[in-house]
Amino acid sequence: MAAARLSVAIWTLAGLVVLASVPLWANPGWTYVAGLILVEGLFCLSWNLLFGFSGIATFGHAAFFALGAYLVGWGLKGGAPFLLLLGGAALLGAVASALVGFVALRRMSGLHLAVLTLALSEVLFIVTGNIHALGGVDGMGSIPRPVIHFGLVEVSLRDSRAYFWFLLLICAALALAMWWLVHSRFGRVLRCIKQDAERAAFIGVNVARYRLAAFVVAGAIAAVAGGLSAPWTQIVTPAAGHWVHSIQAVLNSLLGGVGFFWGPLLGTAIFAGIDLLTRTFAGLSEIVVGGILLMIVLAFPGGVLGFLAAQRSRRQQRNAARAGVPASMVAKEPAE
Amino acid sequence: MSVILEVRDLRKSYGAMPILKGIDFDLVRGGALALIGPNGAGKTTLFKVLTGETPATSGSVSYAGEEIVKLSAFRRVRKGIGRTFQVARVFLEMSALENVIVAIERRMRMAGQPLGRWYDFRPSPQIRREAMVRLAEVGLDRQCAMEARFLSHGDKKRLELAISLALEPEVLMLDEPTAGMSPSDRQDTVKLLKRLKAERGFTMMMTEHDMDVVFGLADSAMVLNYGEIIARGSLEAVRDDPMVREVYLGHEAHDA
Repeated sequence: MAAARLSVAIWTLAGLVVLASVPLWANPGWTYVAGLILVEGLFCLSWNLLFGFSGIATFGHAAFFALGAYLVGWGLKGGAPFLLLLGGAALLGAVASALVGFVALRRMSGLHLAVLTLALSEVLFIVTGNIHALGGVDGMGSIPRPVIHFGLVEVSLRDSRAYFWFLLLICAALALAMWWLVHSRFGRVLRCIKQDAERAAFIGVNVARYRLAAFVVAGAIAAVAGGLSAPWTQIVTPAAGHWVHSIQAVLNSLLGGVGFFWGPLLGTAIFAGIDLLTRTFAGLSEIVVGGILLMIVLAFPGGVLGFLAAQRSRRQQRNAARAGVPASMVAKEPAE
Repeated sequence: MSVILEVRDLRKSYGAMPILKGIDFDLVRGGALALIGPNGAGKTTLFKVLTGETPATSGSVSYAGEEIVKLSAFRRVRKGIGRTFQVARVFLEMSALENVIVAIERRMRMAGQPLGRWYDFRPSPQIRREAMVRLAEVGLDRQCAMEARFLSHGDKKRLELAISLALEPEVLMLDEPTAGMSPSDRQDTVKLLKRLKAERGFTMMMTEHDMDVVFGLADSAMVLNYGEIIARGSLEAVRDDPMVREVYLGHEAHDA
């Protein structure tokens, strides 16, 4: 077990080092894409905290992303301190998701909840498109990259490299915090709720409260992802909160594997790759994406990571069969 | 003999259809009451209303002197009412051990006991040890690492029992504890429940179709028919009640 934990730590560290080195060897275009993947990856991870680990399906998660993006973009243009704005984005996302969750989560689940969140996000989309102070349908452009003041010390994030590293730091910290959450006692209860909410209630779990808590955390993190994206793309448009963006989180997560914590991040990277490779051919990207999705749904419902895990367990079972151990005994490691 | 669960004029209708037509009974602390009756008599509905799975239309249920009829299911669990389901419900994507760990952690949280350092995501060794003991109690220690969905039907029922008992309920409601089991599994379950009840002294209420199980486990019985209690008392008295024979036991009386 200790060895397994060590290898997780080593892989995480190696991944971080590789990501941190991107601005050193990649051209600015690639670095920009890598930054987008980080932000979108964080956003998708927060969606999957709900879907993959709490059993709550929402189709309007981009609304929280947009709230954070608009707040930070608008604040930076007004010269407000960046860290305060990011904190504000988290708070705004938390409050908004608490309101939505309080009204919707208690009464609804499944498809009803998914459609309701979709409808609410559409309302926000239309509202943001009609607020002139936020740039209306054209969005809010020329958002400056910030300088962070720590008393006497100033950290300038105006350089895109510096901002990329800041982005990586925050995304990694929040992603690891979510990883910890999923594996904590809190996450264990959420997984119980996902598997059988009524049974969870009959071991004394206040299901509504846990689901609301997960919803608030996911909303806050989505808003921070949005807030981080504003100075990176330097423009925020209503599209940030459009249902297409919400569905993108769903697709990324399904592609990577919703049963795996890092699945959504992998899916985001794969989708970005497809986008990049096919963008010179108009319409090809949609065809490739559509084809891939068909393939996932039909052949690999567990996503890329689900497919890999299935391969691995098949290999283990073959080895075990050779060694004469009953297959069911190698199904899973105990209680991790 | 004190009464732990006091049910008065409990009614439940689905739409205009009355299912429970004013149920009155007392559950004696430390007792083992079997709820019997033909299919459609309202046994499962009574179970659901008592555990809070579904709200009562009217009436009163008091637990240790406290009115609980309006409480939601999880609050009743926190008071000390545990249950199992007719078709065992466990957390299928977790190992057997993890299923019990979750229940132990819930119990400790309810009791306000510390669960270990807040940042520790692995259950404490003490909790893991207790979980193993509880699995061993129901004879599942060898399957502790197995994901619950791979367990056999009977083992799932045993696991569910371990989960319910890990909460240390004062009242354990068993919805057909031996449904779908082979005769030998049935006997094992009766022995197991008898032993655990003797050790822990919890109060038991069960629905059960198998008269051997009822006579093996219960000390009194109550017969439900069309949403009304038509007989109650000692097992023998209920068995020999002419009305009960007519509506329910008629075809089974000879092997009871």
